[in-house]
Amino acid sequence: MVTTIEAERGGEALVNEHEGLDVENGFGDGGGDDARPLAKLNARQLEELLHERERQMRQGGPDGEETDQWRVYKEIVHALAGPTRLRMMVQASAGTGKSFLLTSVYLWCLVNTMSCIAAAPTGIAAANIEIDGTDVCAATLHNVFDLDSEYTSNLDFSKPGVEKVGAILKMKVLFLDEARHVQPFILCGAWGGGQTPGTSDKLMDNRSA
Amino acid sequence: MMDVDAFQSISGVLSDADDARRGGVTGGSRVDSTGLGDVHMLLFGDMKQLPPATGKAPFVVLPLVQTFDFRVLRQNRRVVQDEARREEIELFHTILTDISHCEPTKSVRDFIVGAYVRGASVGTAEHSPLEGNTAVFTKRRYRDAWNRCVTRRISKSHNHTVKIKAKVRARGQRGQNW
Repeated sequence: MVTTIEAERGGEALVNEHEGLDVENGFGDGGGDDARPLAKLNARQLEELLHERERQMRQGGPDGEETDQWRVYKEIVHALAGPTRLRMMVQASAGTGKSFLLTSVYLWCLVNTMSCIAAAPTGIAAANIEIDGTDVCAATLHNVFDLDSEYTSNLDFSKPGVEKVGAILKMKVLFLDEARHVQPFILCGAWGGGQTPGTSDKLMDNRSA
Repeated sequence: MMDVDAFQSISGVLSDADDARRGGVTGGSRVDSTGLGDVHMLLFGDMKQLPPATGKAPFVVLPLVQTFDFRVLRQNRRVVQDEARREEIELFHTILTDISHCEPTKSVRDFIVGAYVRGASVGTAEHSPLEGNTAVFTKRRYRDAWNRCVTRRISKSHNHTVKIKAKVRARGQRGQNW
């Protein structure tokens, strides 16, 4: 049993709740009410959950204005529904609702039957992406893309029957969490280094999104 | 952290997948000129987090990623469990955001000056609350003395040992300069 303690949030999330709880750890006997697998939400319940999350994202804007979260969410789902392929990087520091936004967009994809995959560099980061009772979940980059220690992928696209290959071929949306420091915005924009033309303006123009 | 090599591998996989979707045709007229294929791609992260200290360059420009739209979430959305601390937490979030955007606002100045003052008096670590206070020091040995004291107090109040799991030394540093 893997238990992920989210100390920062003061809560606990069990990665494999459907397998029941540990006997050795004294968390339960594996057969009680607590150990029952969570019921999967049906399509209507998923929609209700999405509406509830959208309501939460709209709330709490400064002086009655739209929240950053809601504005970016609207832009993302509008783009996902359109013909152009979205390429977006969402910069968010701790406590700004990055994970909530990611899981909400993932949920929107589920409701709109859009095949998507979420990945994160580490198992802990991947375990953080989930919504109970739904298929919203993530795996590590190495798992999703079958990367070895040299970052070489072992996926063979001539074999579409292989589960991972099939999933990637079907995928319409790819979420990458904790995708930081692939771009030096911090140096060229906010700290005034100016190494990369264009990006600093981009940052300043969009920083309130 | 997502390694740059990992990102490049992913780009390669997506490009291969795009070729496979189009019936094994390599190159040609792709749906997307970036080579990432016919998928929407959303990156989430905090670019202001410093990466672990390694021999690699901490920030690397990937031309591919520069084509991405860039959006920032600034507002504090953290759920406040202790209502009495809401204002303090909001202020702290604002200060961190201002610092990250290089904005020396009054609240930032007050915060830093206050943190220096907190760390300046001898013995304050013995009485400093374990929640809500940050202290800044002019010398490493003052910081170490503060940390030793606070670590001891935390272990005493929670009745368990607090262990330091890692010590980091900047590249090129020798001796006890942790």
